[in-house]
Amino acid sequence: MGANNGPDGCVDLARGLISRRIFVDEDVYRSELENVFPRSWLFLGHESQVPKPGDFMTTYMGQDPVLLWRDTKSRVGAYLNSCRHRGVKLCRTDSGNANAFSCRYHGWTYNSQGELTGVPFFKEAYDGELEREKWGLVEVPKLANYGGFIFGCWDAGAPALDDYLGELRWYLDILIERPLGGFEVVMGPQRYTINCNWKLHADNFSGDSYHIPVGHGSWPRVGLPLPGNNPDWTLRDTYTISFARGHSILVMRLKDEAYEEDLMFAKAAGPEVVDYVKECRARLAARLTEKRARIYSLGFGNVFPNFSIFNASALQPLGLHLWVPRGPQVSEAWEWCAVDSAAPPLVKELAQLGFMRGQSAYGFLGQDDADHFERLTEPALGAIAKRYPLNYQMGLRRHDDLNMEGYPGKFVPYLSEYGQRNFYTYWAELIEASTLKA
Amino acid sequence: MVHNDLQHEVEQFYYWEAELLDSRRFYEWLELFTEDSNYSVGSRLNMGSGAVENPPAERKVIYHARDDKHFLVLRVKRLDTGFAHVEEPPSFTRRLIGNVQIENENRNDGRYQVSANILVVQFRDNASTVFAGRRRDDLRRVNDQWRISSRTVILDYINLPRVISILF
Repeated sequence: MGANNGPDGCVDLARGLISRRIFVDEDVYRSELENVFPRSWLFLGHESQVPKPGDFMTTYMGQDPVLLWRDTKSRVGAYLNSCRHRGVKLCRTDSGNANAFSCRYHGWTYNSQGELTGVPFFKEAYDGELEREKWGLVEVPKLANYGGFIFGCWDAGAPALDDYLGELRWYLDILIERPLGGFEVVMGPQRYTINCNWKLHADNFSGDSYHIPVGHGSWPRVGLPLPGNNPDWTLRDTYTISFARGHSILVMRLKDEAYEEDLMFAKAAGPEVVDYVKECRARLAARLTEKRARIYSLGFGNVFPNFSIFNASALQPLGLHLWVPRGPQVSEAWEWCAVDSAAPPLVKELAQLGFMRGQSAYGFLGQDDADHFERLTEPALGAIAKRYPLNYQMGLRRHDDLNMEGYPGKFVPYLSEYGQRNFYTYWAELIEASTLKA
Repeated sequence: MVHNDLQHEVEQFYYWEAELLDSRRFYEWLELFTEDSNYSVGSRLNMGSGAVENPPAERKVIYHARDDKHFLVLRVKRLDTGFAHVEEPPSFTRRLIGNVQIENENRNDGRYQVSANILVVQFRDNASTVFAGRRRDDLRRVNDQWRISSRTVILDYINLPRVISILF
C-alpha cells in the first residue's frame, strides 16, 4: 500500500493514518462525486424489484437520482431521473409500473426506452425543429446483472462488472446460489438520514469487526445471539477478506460454522426449518465446489464504494444497504430486505423480523451505528481536532502473510483494520488520479 | 356519538401513558401492554397516484418494528444495558396526543379500537426532531384498568430524519 495518498496526502496508509478531513470537507466530497461514483459500478436494484414490463424503481447513483425501468420489450434500462428540458425530477415515486413519464413542469414525455416521445406544442413552440431524438433521457451507459443484482456505471470505458468485482465473485456466488428460489426483495426502501459522511458506513462494513463487542454491546446483553456464539469475540478462524478495488467481506468462516449455527436455530424453530437449511446446503453442494459450499454464508461486506450486504446465514435476512451521499456531512441509509422466494413462510417472517431488529432504523445495530458516526463527525469539524489524524493501524504489520491456500482474496484475522485500509487505498487512487488529470 | 365519560377516560389514560414515556418510566409503561400484545411502527413509501397503478396498501408502508411483548421488553431492557449508545445520554421527549377517536364504543366486551394523532418532539444534543403520525390501538379494560393489546404507529415520514431510538 502506498503512502501519502488522497487530497493533500490526508490518507497515509503505510502508517495507518487518515485525516478527519475526508469525512467533513466540501472539496473532498466534490471530488468523490466527480471521480469516485461516476467511475465505479454502483448497485441499482435487484431484478425482483422490476419483474414485469413497465416496472420501475427510483434510486441514487452517488448524488444523482436514477430511474431503473424495464421497458415494454422487457429490457432493463437506467436513466438519470431528470427531464432534459429544465431538469425537473421526472419520476417522483419509489416504484410502480408505467409506459411513459411526463414532466410535470412543461410536459415533455418519455417512453420506457427513455426516448422523448412527446413535446407539448411541438409545432407551435419549436417550429417542429427540436431534434427530439437527441433529447431522450440520459442513459446509464453500462448496466449489468450479476446473479439478480443490477449494477450500473457511468464510465463507458470502465472494466466489465465481472472484472470490477474480481475475486469477490467467488464468494458472492455462494450468496447467490444458496436460495432455493432466488432472492426476492420484500421490504424497502427503508430510508433514514444520518449526519455523517457516506464513507463511514462503507468503512464500517469494509472491515470493522472491532466495533461489534462495544459498539453493539447491547445486543448480547439483552440475550440476543451473536454469530459464532462466542462471548468474548476474539473469534478464531474468522476472517476479513479483502479484494482489489476496495471490496471486503468480514466475519467470514470457512468450515461449516455458519451452517451449523443455522441448524442449531432451525432445530428450535421446527422440522420444516431444519429441512430448509439442509436443502440450502445441499443446493450449494450441487452447484459449487465443496470448499465453497462449506462457507455457506457471507457475513457482512461492502462492494466499493457504497453498497453493503448483511447476510449472516440462510435464516437471516439479506440486507441490502445503499449509503447515499447527501453532502460532506450528511448521508441517507437506503435499505432493503430480501429473502429466498422459496423459503418456508416462517423463515421469511423470521428474516423480516431480523431485518427490523438488527441493521435498520429501529434495529439495535442500526441505531447505535448511526450514533457512532454522528459523534465521530462533530469533533472532526474543529480546527484543532483536524490536526490529529485517526488511527487505522490495527494489524498494520502483523498478518500480511496469512496464506489461505485455495481461497481467493487477501485474508486477515477477525481483528484487523486491513479491510478499511484496502477501501481507502482504492478510494485514494481514484481521487489521486483525478487530481493528476486536472 | 361517543359517550363523554368514555372519551374522557381514554384521553386521561393516554395522557398518563405519555407522561410515563416522557419521564422514562419505561417499565411502568410496559405494564400497560397485555402479555399477548403487539407493537408495530412504520413509515411511508412514496407510491404516488395517478398514472401509476394504484399500489396495494401493504406497499405504501414499511415497518421498522413488528414486536411481540417479548421483544418490546427487550427494547426497554436494552436502554438499561449501558450500551444503547444512541440513548447515552438519554434524549428528552415531549409528546402530544390528540384527535382521539374511539370506534365501536357500543361494544360491551370491554374492547375498543382507538385512533389518535401523535406528535413527539425528541431533543438530543441540541438538535430536535419531530415525529408525527397516526396511532391505532386495540384497548381492553382489564380489572377496571386500561390495557393496550395492539398498537400500530404509522409515522408521516418517507425519509426518516434520524434513526428511531424512542418508544411510541
